[in-house]
Amino acid sequence: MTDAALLEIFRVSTLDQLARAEAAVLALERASPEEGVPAMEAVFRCVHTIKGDAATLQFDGLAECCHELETALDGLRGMGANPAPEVIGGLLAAIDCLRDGLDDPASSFTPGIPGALEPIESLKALLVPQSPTPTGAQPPQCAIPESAQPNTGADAPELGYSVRAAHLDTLLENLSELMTTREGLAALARSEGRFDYLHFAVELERQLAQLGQSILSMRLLSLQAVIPKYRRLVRDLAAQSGKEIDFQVSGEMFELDKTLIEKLNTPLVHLLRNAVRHGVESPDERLRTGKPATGVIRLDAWQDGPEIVLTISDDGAGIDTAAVLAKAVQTGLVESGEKPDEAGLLAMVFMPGFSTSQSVDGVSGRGVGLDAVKDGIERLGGDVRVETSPGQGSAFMLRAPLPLSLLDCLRVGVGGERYFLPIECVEHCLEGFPASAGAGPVSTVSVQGAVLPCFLLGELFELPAAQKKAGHLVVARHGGERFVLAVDEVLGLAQVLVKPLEGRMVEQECFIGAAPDEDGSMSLIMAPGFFSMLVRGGGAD
Amino acid sequence: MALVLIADDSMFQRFVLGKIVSSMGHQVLDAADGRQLLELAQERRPDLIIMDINMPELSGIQALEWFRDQGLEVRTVVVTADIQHTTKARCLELGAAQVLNKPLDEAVVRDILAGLLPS
Repeated sequence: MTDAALLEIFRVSTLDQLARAEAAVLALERASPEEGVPAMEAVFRCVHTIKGDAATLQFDGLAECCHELETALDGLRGMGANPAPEVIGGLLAAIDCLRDGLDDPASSFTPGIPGALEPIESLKALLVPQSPTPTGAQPPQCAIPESAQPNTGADAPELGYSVRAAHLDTLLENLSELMTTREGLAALARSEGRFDYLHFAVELERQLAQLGQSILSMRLLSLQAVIPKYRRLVRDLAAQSGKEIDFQVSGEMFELDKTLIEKLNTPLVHLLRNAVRHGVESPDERLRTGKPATGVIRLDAWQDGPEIVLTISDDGAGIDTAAVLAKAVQTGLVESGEKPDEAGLLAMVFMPGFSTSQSVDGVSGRGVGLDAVKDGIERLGGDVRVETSPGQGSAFMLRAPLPLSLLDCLRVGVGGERYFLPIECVEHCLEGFPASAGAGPVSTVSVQGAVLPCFLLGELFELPAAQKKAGHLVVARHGGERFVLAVDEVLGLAQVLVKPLEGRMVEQECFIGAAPDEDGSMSLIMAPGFFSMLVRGGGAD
Repeated sequence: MALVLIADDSMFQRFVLGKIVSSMGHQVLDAADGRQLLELAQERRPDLIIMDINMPELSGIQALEWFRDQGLEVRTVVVTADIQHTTKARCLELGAAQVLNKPLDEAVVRDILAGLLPS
């Protein structure tokens, strides 16, 4: 064990403690009185831990800094929840100061370096004079909360093993092969009527699914792990632009593939910046229009079938569609005199270089941003939409397919090919193709009294010799639309491991991925969203 | 070979202590907070627990109280940067075999482990 390796472990461990401290400080800002004490103790504990670790490696300057910070924090104890914003800002600056010095912990914290320890000094100045107010002060001798209440939330996720993503991919490849072998075994057992073997094949399917979930869960990271970063971003940007913003988050317990969380970062940062800078108005402006001075930005995450949906919404002024139209005319996107509908106009804000903002500053608004959001999310095979209401705010909705997941699917046969359809969208299956249905790939059929759009998949996918067999109808629902898919035959159910399609294919809108079928060949998985989009887009009213 | 549970919220401390313990030929278990400490102490019945006081979820003192209330007989060494006399007395009163101050002296740790554990 070299000193360099030990130092690296110290650095990683300390960064982890600082991340916990930062999350706790941010929680402190929004804490109710009863949440304030544990959040305060969490900050204290992290600083204390770093002090102990620093002393072990004889980083006396750093240990002394932590000690000073502890003294300052002591002044905060017993002051109850919601310290003044400048105190929160001071705490965050002190945490940043410790973090910045970590690259060279032996010399960064020597007293004497001008300016280096300033944040800690100014925090002390802020806190120490106004210390003990006797009313409601806590007994000073003990830092440990009396009750054994589990502390929910404030602490960052525990450190785990780090496993190379490539190793997990190999595991998934192996699993996928196992699942294919199992499919073959089950098919053989079924065709030869060996139900004793089939029993084992069914049992294997369940066990492999569990194994798959375990492997996939290793790639998962709770959204909560990155929320403090966004909370900090919104907080700092709001302070910079003189706005008061309450950042609310829901769905942060939702677990996502780590790589997807990383790839969603750029679009999210752009949209949050945009919401702070252009969405929420200044406190004066808000008060003038009868709104509370503090604006709200929300980040909501949830799963919709095989997709993750994230919305970033604000209660600001909304997008000025008249300004968008003027800009569109000016840049030649729209002929003057022409009047596109609102959806068409709003789609233009995602065009490269398109910005209606009057000012350019360090925060956002250089005419880049929303096109980067669109580009980033489309690379993931998803899309972005915006809705706005004058005076009430805007909401950006990001959708992206969840990569590499296990999906329960219906297997269908069309024109000699096989496809999967996520079972979640399937309402029921009907036998027989009604003579009343029109010709062509898109028509309508009457199902239990309702006239529904019907897609003849053989023709839609332009499969050779779509033998007009279309013996089965699959009635499905997605995104609020009901529709019918006409297929040659319904083959059964299967649990498949979704493999994302490479690159940005034309077919990507129509398929969410591919999965091995029981003979080992790959079959495409249809995207229910493609059909609901066709229904919405007209042509099958 | 003995089983030693190390409970500390600092990954760095767990690593440093873990290295000493395993170099003496013992098996190491890790807990990052007080709750994990209780779970592992109960499930794995380690021969020795080396624990911090200042931990998330449950403090070391609360863990010691819990061991006493449950009648769980475990040998514990408390490691702390808290130099208060009262804290040390409380730990010993709750049955800790030793209370050591951070920063740790490796030689002292080795001596104490050698005394408490069969080699």
